[in-house]
Amino acid sequence: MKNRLKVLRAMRNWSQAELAVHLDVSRQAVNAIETGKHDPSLPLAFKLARLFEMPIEEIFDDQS
Amino acid sequence: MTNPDANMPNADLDMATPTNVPSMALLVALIAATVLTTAFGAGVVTGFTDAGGGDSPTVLAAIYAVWIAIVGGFALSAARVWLKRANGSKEPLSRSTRRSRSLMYVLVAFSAVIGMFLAYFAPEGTSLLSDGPIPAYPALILIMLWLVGGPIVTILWWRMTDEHDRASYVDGANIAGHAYLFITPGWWVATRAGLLPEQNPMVLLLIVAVIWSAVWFYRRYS
Repeated sequence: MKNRLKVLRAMRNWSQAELAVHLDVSRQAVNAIETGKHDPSLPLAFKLARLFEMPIEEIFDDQS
Repeated sequence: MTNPDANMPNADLDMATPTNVPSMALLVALIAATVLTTAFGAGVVTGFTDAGGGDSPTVLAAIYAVWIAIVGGFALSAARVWLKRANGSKEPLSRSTRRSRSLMYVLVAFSAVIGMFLAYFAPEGTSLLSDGPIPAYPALILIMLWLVGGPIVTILWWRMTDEHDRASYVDGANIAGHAYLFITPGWWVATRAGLLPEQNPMVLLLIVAVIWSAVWFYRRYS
């Protein structure tokens, strides 16, 4: 699934490892989500939405 | 949706490991080289001794020296790469990552203890994974370690690792389970036809474990 995670992370000047600490996952998990290799669970998607203060559908795009 | 990465200078802050830190692939290759050269050297020494080479202690000592030098070289290189990765990356780790890594180190130590235990009680002249008899007391201790310690460590790891790691583990289990499903009856039929020796459960376990680990590793780190 495509997503804007990399952009949102870059806007905050966070590395993948720093975002991983915020989400309590591994850096590999953040990388896998960013590259579309792993679709996050609903709880993790909500965690991301709260962290970036925007709705889930503005972070993830299931249409493309 | 337009390309959101356009004009984002900081989008590549991360990626994999920082470039000045040795890669995980190098570390895995060095560890594999250490294990393989250890096994290869053991085979050479055994073959040389069986062929009567024990009568030439100087040659045997030279073989041992070369073997130890090669294995030691690979092991030291692996240790240096591991230390460089540990000290050089300096990346922050999440709580779940720290905990699951610590548990993995405990598991490696736990496995080493079981291996040493088996090696100590293995009948003379047999290998670590032989089917030879062992005394009942150490066998009972090993069974308890495996049947009680194994599930406890697995449950703890499952609870403390993150969902991506769990998904990688499940993918590995799925493919390894299917490998077992296809290999076992194939081997069984081949044995009945006299094409293969009797099934060995530990060989099957090893095949399943290797496939499971390889898939987990690929999904986790690719």
